[in-house]
This record gives sequence, C-alpha cells and structure tokens, in this order.
Amino acid sequence: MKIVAVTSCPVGAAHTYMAAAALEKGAKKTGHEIKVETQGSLGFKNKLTVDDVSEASVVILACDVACLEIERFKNTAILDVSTKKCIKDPVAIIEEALEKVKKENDDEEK
Amino acid sequence: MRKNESVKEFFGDIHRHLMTGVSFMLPAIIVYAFFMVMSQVGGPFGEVSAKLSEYAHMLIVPVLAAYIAFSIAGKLALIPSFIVGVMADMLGMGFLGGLIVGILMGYLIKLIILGTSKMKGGQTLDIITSFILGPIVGSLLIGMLIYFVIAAPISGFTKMLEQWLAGLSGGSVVVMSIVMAGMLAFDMGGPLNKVAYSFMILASSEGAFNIVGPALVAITIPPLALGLSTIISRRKYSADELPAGKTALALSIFGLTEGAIPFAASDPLRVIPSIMAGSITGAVCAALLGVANTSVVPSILGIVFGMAGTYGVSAILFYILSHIAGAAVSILLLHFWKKDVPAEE
Repeated sequence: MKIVAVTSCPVGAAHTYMAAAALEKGAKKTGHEIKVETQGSLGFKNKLTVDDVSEASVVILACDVACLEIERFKNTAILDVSTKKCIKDPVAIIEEALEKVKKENDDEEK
Repeated sequence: MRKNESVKEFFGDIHRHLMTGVSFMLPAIIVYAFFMVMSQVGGPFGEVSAKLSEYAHMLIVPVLAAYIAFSIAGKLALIPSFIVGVMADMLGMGFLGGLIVGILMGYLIKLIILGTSKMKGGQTLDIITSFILGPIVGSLLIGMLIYFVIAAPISGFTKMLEQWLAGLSGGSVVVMSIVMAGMLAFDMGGPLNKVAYSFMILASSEGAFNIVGPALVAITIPPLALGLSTIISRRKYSADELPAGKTALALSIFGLTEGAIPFAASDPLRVIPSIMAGSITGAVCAALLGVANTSVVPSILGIVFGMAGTYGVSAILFYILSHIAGAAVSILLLHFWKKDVPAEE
C-alpha cells in the first residue's frame, strides 16, 4: 500500500524531522511504501507531487502546527496525529492509517 | 452527540492554531532580541541594529494574531488580523492582545466562509467574500470590538503585570525563578518554554534584570547537562543517542534548550524531571547570588552581551557557578536514575 505523510512542529527543526524519520522506519518495518513531506522552518522538503497524492490510499498528517496546502488532500483519507505519537510508535500509526483506509472502503461499498 | 461533533469540527484543535501563531512569530522575537543586544555596540552599526530591533518588535503581535487566524480560517484571515493586530499592539495589549485578535478574527472569517458557501451566489459572491466581506467587514467588526470593548481591560491587566514584575525582589525572585526554570526545561523549546521566554523578554524590557539572569541559566542547563552526561555516563545511552550528545553540547553554547529533545523523546519520564531539577537548581543559585543580565541571550553570549562591562567579574563567576551547580544536579540524577542500555541491541 502506498502512504503519504506530512509532518510539522512549532520550531520546525526537531520534531518535524524526527517524526518523518520515525514514519519511514515504521513503514519499512510493516512493508509499505511511504513518502513523507516535511514542513519545517526552511519550508517544504521532499514535497508531495500531485501524482504522489493521487496514488496514495491514505495521508498521515502529523502536524502540530497548521498543515500548509491542506486542500491537496481533499480526496484522500486523512489520519490526524501528533508528531509525538509518530516518534513514539510509528508502527501503530501506520496500522491505524491502514485501518482507516479499510473502514472508508467498507463505507463506500455500503 | 452529532451537535457536539460539529462544534468540535468548527473549533478544531485550538492548541494547534496557537502553536502555528507562535511558530511564525518566533523569528521576529529572535531578530528583536538579537538586534536589541547589538544596538548596545553603538556607532552606525548600533543605530541600524536599534532600528531593526524596533521594527521586529512591532511585528511580533500582528504576526502572532495573523497566523493564529490563518491556521483557523486560511489565507482570507491574514490581512485583517495583521491590521487589527497592529491596532491591538498600539493600544498596549501585548501578547494577550495578539492571541485574542487571532482567535476572534479566525473564527469570524471561518463563519463568513461557511455562511457564504451555503448561499448560491456563484462567482460574484466569492469575489464579494474575498474582497469585501473578509478584509473590510472582518477588520471593521473585530477592530471595533477591540477598540471599544476589549482594549481597556486587557491593557490595564498588562500594565499591572509589568508593574508587578518591576517590583519583584528578594524571596519572590526565587519563587519566580523556580516557576520559570521549571517551565523553560519542561518542554525544551515547546509552548511552555516560549511562554516563560516571552515573560523573560517582558521582564527585561521592564528593567527587571534580576529575573532575567536566573532564567538564562535555566535555558542552557538541559542541553549542557545531557551533552556532558553522554560523555560521563556513556552506558546509559544507546549508540543512536551518543552523537545527539555532541549536538546537544554544541547547541548549549548558544543556549538552545532544543538540544535536549532527542533524549527526552526516548526516555521522557526520567529525562524531563532530571533536567527540570537541574534548571531549577541553577536558577535558584543564580537568584540567591543575585545574578542579573541585561541581555536576553543565554549561555556565553549572555556573558558577552549582558554582563561584561555592566557587572563585575564576581557576577560572571556566579553566573558560571550557577550553570555548573544546575548541570551537576541533572548529571547526577541522570546517572543514578537512567537504566543501563545493553551493550548489544
């Protein structure tokens, strides 16, 4: 499954990148593909393209401050979490995201 | 139940909105503080620095207001909040004013957007919303509310706070130091830290330099203690953490509390109380020894800009001594409290 994520924090220097690294680790462990965009103090890094977003089945928003250009994700399932949770247990976050996808698919079938 | 949910959806995560404002405001505070210190150099360079510092200070409250509102309602909320934010600042409402303007404007604009999106007005209505309803009506409504209703009580409260700060001495400085040091160390550059730091800048601008000294000591201790601890108590840290210790030491030279974050993230229940205890010890030492500082920058920079020439050699020694005392407490606590990390993992 393909996942995209955005991370951001108030200072934009520590938690942003720690959460991104944790999510990448978590995805690797669970065998999923992930691309993480960081919105740190130096702006966008590894910015998600239109294709990235349209191919992804879910977007994880680990944003402690407002996520910029959030309208990109209006057609994607969104999981809202804090950077802290991502750093602590990225695998659980990935699993939660996958559950969200499954639930939305079920809802659509109904 | 449903109603509750829609209320929750409307107000969203207030904490996130406030943090967005703080996040955008931070560079302005740093520029303000840095050039305020530089302006003491004098000469043409000092003059430019004084101007830069003054203008940066003018931006702090409007930027805070604007980006809180931006987080709540998006782009349309920016300009009216900047405008009313400047007004709130000029009326002497301070940080609190920025907070209030941002929240009020954010939700007003959000309401306007929600309301007009339900009407069938097509493109014309969109244009009216984004060029008239948003900027003009938004500025007018919140502006009047601030000008006629909210400004007087808030600026009165801010003045009271400032007077109280300026009058602090003796025992109350120690109590103040304990509270501020605890807040500064608790979340290492997070929201509580910034509240305490903003308070310290306020104290400095009121000439309460005896409160600034202890606070500056408290800021540097967490990264300093953790950096030294990775050298002294190597076995307590995993291979991943050891390089972060060097980073923390480097950051402590500039007094950036953020250097302690990686350690607190991996073992918060032991690390956070340890650094809080160290920061509080250091701050209390500084308060008891009467360490004052005319700058708002911590660590070595604090000596260069805020003590050298103003206070004697003994004051500088006390300043350093307070750092050592606080760091020692943290290092000891970390050493005996943290568990050994197995050699192979």
